[in-house]
Amino acid sequence: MLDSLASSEPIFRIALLSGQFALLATVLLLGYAFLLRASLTLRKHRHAAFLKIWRPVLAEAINGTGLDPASLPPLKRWNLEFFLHEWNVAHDSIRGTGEQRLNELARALGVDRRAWRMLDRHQIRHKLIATATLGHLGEARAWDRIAGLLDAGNSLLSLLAASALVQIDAKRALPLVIPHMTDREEWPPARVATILRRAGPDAVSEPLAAAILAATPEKANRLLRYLDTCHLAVADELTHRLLKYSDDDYIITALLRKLDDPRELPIVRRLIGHSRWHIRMLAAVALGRVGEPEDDAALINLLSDEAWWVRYRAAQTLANLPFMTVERLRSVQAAQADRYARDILDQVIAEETL
Amino acid sequence: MSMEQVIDVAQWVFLGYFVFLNLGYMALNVIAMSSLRRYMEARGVDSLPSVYANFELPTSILVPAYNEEATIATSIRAMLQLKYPEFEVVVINDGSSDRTLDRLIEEFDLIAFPEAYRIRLETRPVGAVYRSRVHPNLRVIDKANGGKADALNAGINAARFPLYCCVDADSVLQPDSLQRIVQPFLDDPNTVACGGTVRIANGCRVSDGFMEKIALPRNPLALLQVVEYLRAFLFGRLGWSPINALLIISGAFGLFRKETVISAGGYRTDTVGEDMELVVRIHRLLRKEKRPYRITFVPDPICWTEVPEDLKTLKNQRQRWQRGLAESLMMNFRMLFNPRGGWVSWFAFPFMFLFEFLGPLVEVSGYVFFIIAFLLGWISMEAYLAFMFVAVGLGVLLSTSALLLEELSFHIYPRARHMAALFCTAILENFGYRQLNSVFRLVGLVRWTFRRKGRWGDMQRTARWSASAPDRSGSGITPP
Repeated sequence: MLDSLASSEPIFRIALLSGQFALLATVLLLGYAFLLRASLTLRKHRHAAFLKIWRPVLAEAINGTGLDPASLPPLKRWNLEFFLHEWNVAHDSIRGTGEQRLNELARALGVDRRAWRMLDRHQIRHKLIATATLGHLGEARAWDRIAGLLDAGNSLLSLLAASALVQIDAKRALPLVIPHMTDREEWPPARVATILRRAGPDAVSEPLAAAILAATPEKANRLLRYLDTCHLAVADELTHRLLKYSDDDYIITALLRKLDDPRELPIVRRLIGHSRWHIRMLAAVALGRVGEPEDDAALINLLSDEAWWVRYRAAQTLANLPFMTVERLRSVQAAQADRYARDILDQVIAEETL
Repeated sequence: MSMEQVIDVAQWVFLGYFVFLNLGYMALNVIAMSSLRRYMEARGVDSLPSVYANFELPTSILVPAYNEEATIATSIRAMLQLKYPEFEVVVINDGSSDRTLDRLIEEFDLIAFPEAYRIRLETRPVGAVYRSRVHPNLRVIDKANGGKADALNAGINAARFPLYCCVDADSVLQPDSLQRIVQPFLDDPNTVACGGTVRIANGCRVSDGFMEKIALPRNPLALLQVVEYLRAFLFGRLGWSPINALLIISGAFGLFRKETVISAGGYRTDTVGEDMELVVRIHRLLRKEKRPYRITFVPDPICWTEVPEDLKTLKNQRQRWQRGLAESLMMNFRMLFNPRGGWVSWFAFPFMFLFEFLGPLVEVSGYVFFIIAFLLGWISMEAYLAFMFVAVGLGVLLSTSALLLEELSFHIYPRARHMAALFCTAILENFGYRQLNSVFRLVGLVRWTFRRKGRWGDMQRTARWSASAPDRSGSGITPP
């Protein structure tokens, strides 16, 4: 029948060919899927066997008294990735001498050399794990190779490279990393902040402050979100200078979120009347941190603001003032002619007494 | 044109349609495979602790509930235990006629609260707002019945945080569901919405609202839907996500940027496909405003839902889905070939229109045409078999490739016999089930064309998977 079909009209030949292609592809996919499952099962068994031997070794390296390289079991080739994963997880979970002992263990097993070789491999997965490992090991010899990865097309790899450089030498790394923080828009701020925290305020404060002052408003705004990784004095000084000269909404917003310096009170009082509601809202909250007793009048005015969030934050700030009691809040509420002001105080009083 | 020519043209049209439909899906499959490979690589590194620690954005979980007295307490208790640093749960009781509200009040020690409730989206009247004395992050909005979309709008009005996650009251979550789905928002600040993979809970064991043991359903209809869901989520959605052309985020579990949704006008209450309609509208409005944005998808299995185990419920559900799809596309028809619309206007929307909206009509007509043409002797037995061979063969190929994606990524069905069962199902579903589905969807399309009012339809739930849930057969307002 197939022969007769193959020699019939083109439409049926096309149908037959398509069907045959689908059939063949299905068989190939099925075969591939079964191979995958078989390899997964093998991998699971190997992983279980690996954990049985190496979990205790890693635990002893973290908590133990000393490491005898001669007593270590051999790290088989197919266990290297399992080991590196467990070792990196352990590294990320601890601080202090445990980290040093983990590095000693890795060096005793020749993992540093093997990570170097892994960095040359083509698969991105290998490059990622090798970069993380060399970073944790603080391998200064790998500096140039890892610095080159900052420009990698894969954003995860570039971020891990930044993290590794910071781990190797934070002061040397930050002048290289900070320009990428503004240029590589795809770098998640949460991860960048983690890297900066790890570097510590001594290394971060100076280069970050200099970069913010030299940046365009758009780039400065991107860098300001990391201000709290600087020393408090540096952050305050920078806030003071920027608030004085900047009229960029995004910069003001970023600064108000972190503002905690009573020197800025006049500026905060001015921003209470800003045309944008989110700035009024942040100014109300900042007033709670740096304001004086007479500022409660400004907060009471904000209870009638057109924006719900401004009213809510003003009411919360008012309720949290050191001298404020529920009775005083009730008397403020009774004095309000505006229904919205009374409603928002109703809610905040109820929250306070819940 | 002679009868012979008409038959010739019809054969070419139907064959061409089937081949192009499947080529389109295969292209999505290739995109999904590459995207999944990258995702799994990144996931390997993300499993290291502290990558995202303490940076998750505060999130409001919105749970619309209508007549869910049997399971609402278990579901909410599970949601309150999610691993996430800062979140609130807002339950919207959409005028339930059973004891849903009483159960919540008893279980969570709720008290009426004078909240200065903001009306940013118009909804049916809100009667009261309750807060829990036990869980400070739990609130319940009690409102007049207005449907799921209206309930979600009320929830958005009450939400405190910049992101909101809509969750069906009967969804089963993983403890890290929120952590997983929020990651695209941390990776890219332009992300405005994100969906996750919904898997099938039938056959699994759920304890206290969380998935305890994963297994395949014994019910054949539910088993067929396991393969169908894998196909729909693993390449139906993952394929569109990398090119920012995803048009559907399941109403069962999705995360949205609140202000974006409010500026788009919230959920429309005049459609049964409010989840898809909202996503299509967000695409349309943000592209019109030329604002950078991303609507994305995480392939992790983060939400589990119960699927119909009887034909009547399945029929109602599929008719409703087809109606929702039709409404969503028609309400945003200006997207089609819009010069500013990018991939959405030039590929995703036309694809949906041609293959999902018109698909049931062409598929059923194709099958009917070839059967009639064969019975009347217009075409030979060979021609008839060749058509069936290509239609079924390509269908099997697609289902098999979805299973391959599952094997390449999460392989959540742990045993080899699960996999064997799924592959058998992937083949068998092409001999009747898919055709039946097309018929159900065609009926939905016809009913929509003649504007017959769609019913929500009673979802006959068995909840056999739930260790703590008694039998429940509510008329859930939320399609999975």
